[in-house]
Amino acid sequence: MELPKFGLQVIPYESGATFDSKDGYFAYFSDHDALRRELMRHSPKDADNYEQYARSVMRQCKFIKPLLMRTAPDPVRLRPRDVSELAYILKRFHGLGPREMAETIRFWTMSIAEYLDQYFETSIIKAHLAGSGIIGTGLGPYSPGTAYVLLHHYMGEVDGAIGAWGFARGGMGSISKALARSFEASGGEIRTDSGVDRFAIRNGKVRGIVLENGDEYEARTVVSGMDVRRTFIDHTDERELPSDFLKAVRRYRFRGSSGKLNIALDGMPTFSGAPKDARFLKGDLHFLDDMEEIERAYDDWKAGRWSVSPYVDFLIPTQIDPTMAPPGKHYATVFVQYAPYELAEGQWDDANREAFAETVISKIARHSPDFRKLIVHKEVRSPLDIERETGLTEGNIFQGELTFDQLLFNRPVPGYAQYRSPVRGLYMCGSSTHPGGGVMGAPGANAAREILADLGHKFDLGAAA
Amino acid sequence: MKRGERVIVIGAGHNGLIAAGLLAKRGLKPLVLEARGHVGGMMGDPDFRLSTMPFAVWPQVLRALGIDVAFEPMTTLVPTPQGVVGISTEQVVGAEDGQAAAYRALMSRLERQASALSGLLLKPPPNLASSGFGDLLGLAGTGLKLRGLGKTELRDLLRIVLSNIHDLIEDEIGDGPLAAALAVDATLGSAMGPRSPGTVLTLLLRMARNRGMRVMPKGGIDILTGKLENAVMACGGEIRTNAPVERILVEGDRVTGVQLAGGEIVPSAAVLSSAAPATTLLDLLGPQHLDAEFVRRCRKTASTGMVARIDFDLKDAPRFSGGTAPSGKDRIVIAESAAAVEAAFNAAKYGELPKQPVMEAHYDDRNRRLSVSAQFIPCSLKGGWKEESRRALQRLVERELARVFPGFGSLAAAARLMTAQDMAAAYRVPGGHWHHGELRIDQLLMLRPFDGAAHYAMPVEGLYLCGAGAHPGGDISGAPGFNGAQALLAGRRR
Ligand SMILES: Cc1cc2nc3c(=O)[nH]c(=O)nc-3n(C[C@H](O)[C@H](O)[C@H](O)COP(=O)(O)OP(=O)(O)OC[C@H]3O[C@@H](n4cnc5c(N)ncnc54)[C@H](O)[C@@H]3O)c2cc1C
Ligand SMILES: Cc1cc2nc3c(=O)[nH]c(=O)nc-3n(C[C@H](O)[C@H](O)[C@H](O)COP(=O)(O)OP(=O)(O)OC[C@H]3O[C@@H](n4cnc5c(N)ncnc54)[C@H](O)[C@@H]3O)c2cc1C
Repeated sequence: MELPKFGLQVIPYESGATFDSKDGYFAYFSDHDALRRELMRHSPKDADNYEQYARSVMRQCKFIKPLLMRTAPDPVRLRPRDVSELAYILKRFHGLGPREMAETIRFWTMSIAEYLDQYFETSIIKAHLAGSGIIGTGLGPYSPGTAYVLLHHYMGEVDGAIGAWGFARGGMGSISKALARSFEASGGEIRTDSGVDRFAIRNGKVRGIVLENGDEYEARTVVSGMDVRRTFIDHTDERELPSDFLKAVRRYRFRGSSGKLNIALDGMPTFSGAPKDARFLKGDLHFLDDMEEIERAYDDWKAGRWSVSPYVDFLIPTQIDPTMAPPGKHYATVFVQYAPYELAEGQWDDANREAFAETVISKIARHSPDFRKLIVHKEVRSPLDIERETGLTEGNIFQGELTFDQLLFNRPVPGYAQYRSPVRGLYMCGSSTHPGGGVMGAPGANAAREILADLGHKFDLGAAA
Repeated sequence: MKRGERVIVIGAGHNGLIAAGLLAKRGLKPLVLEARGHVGGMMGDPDFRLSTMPFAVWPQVLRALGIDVAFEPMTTLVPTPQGVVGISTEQVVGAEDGQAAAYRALMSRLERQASALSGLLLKPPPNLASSGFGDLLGLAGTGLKLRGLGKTELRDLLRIVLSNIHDLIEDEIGDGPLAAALAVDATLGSAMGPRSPGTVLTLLLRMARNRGMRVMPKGGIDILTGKLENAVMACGGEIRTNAPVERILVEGDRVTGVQLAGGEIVPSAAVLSSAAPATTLLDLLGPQHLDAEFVRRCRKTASTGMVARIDFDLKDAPRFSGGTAPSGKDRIVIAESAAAVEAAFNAAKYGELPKQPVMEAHYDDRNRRLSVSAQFIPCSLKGGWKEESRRALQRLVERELARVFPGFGSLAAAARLMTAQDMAAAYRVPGGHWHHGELRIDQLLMLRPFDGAAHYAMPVEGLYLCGAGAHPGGDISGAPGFNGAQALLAGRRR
């Protein structure tokens, strides 16, 4: 969509670090030599094994990546397109060779903890890498299936480098802005403050939409970027839907597990474990000793509490992009794993929100003595707040859990994983469809391809990219 | 191999005995070498045997051995503060009506799905290595067989097969005593909790034979062990106990026999081992005969046992709060809910004792013995197993038993405890694992016990695996013993 032309600048990811409770740290660099030196500082063995690890992850990314931009086959209906798509996947899979086939199966089913244990001996290195296996999910690092989630986070691609992350200059919002400009330049129209009340459906076909303000729009094709629950439970007359579909949609799991703090700072905080002017402070910072700490944080969430010692993804983007704050000032975005959508005891009221924030801030303050007094203002978001603010149901950042039962041909629900719904002309394109959430755009692109095919157009993703 | 030729079988657990029995039937001369003083392996320990309540041995296996054993189905009892819930093949009693109906509906669906998978178990797993593209399509063909389930149930199976039992319970029946029983069945013997993805598959594999119900051989477990033993000897096989194998001998790339702990050498061109894969390959054979990658994978196999056994000699029958006593045909599950099962697992993950262990118990009324398998008791306890921690565990178990059987404290005359660590030493199984290695998606089928070792025949010619560590895994089922013997008979190489 030529986003750079429409103002999107991606600043490539360079570094990040994890601090342990004894003021030790492990820094991660995208620069190979810098990373190797840092790994060597901890363990020469881990430094060697990292090369293998990186190759293995890269291979898995390469295998899976093309599948993300394709519609998942329906293994039950098995129409010709499903058979040929299954054959395509099997062939690619077989092309890996026996060793890699086995590795791939294991990779898809293993826990991130065990996967990392295979390669590394140093706790803090494993702890640093494990975070990507659990961010945004209701799983712990010991849960089978989390190695795959890691991939989901590594799938980003910046200028062709697999596994590379980037920051959008101006914040995530600038991605949406560039997308919007590109869309409008092609003749599209966007209306904000136009909440959809319901889909107009007659005789099993969509006829248009009705807005909350009563305005009606006619259309033979309607595409919903809302998640599957909102689309069909909240905004569709359930009499228009088959009962097994409704049951499956109701069962679809969100399970918010993440909270967020946005903190305005009077200056740049210091970190007691970091060498002076360490450049990795510009990246994502974490505070933990080992993977067990994350697993224990997960146990709290299972019991309906926010983590006593949460996994924190801390970033001060104003270091990289000073345009985001007044001169000399900074702000920190703190992503917190885990916080439940519903508390076992009490509600997400101001007192609990404050207590949650305090848990997070005191964890950070243990590593940054001046952090607390630099705080000018803070916003606290529980999963419930994230839901209210962004429309992400239950605050699940992926529009629904990324577990096996909700991936590929099971996403969002079995039998309806090809962007079509039981209502003719009504399509799904949000992250609750294959291949799931994150700012990567694959569900939208896949849906567009299916819709264009139904409308009799050919659509070449390559040309549109 | 020629008729009358000797084959050594390491280990006289049920799988070793079954493999030996099948080889004897085919005219070979199996010699079973067992390290311990008794046969039966994990299910036959004279001090602890009564705690074993077999999942049925495959009837095809018994038929192949020409053995007839009458199995009686057991009733699962789940004591709750409101009374005892009973689950048998025919009915569910004592549970809330709605829940019982939901449970039965779920179970019959799972039974159908499990039986569609059962074709995968009593034969070697699909082969990734030698297969051409056609083989993969063949595997997809196994998938086609699943189509017999009908579209709806097949879709459902493809959705739940890799997911966790907790979610299924949440969707279908809600938590409670029936959920607790289901969560126990899905995790028993594993280092996984109900929320661990993959626990639906372990449940389905258990349910693939005899619907996952426990059975008791008429006359007790000894009857089964005795008949398996006889099947070996009746056809000219031999069994030696107190005969620990110390080394598997190799010349060139071929097995030539074994050396016993006393130094005695027994020559043989073929060795089937029902000892755990790591024991067989790393301790008995030795890494020097294997390539480094193979050894690495063997070492990385997950095998953390989390079940302890405690047997109590009682002065009198234990009684539930209602006053009834369990019979020898009952299997007692002591867990309040699926959530309690998860909570017990939480502690064990970190090498700690759970506050409330989950237990499975059997009362043998003839010998007045209560046998308990306590789940989520980690093999390596933080700080190590010492006299004090053993006592703490026993007190924990007694306290839980007293909750279920009021006055239990005054009933117990003597107790024997075996932690997973004790079992690791006694049976030479890494981690003392129930399945000789975690039964988890990444260690199932062609990945069991690990990638490259899944087809019974090992890289050294003449060496085969035939114990619970091999596909399809542990429990009293006889399948690995059967499959291992078939592999040797087929003379199959990888
Ligand atoms: C705190 C947080 C941090 C994150 N960090 C990252 C990150 O670092 N990297 C990353 O890749 N991803 C991240 N994500 C995830 C990512 O933001 C989402 O997965 C992604 O935005 C989902 O995109 P979507 O278009 O599918 O859905 P959404 O972005 O949820 O879009 C759906 C839209 O539909 C609108 N809508 C809902 N109901 C109606 C209605 N009735 N009528 C009209 N419109 C309606 C909503 O307002 C919304 O704008 C994060 C998410 C959160 C919450
Ligand atoms: C606490 C506990 C309770 C259980 N309860 C049940 C139950 O209720 N129902 C059920 O179905 N399953 C149960 N199981 C599981 C079941 O007992 C095992 O999966 C099964 O017995 C494995 O059988 P096997 O023949 O493969 O191995 P084993 O029974 O372990 O036999 C292997 C034999 O090899 C011998 N051996 C090892 N090394 C050597 C050597 N070097 N030389 C000679 N001999 C050697 C060992 O001594 C052992 O006798 C339980 C397991 C445990 C740990």
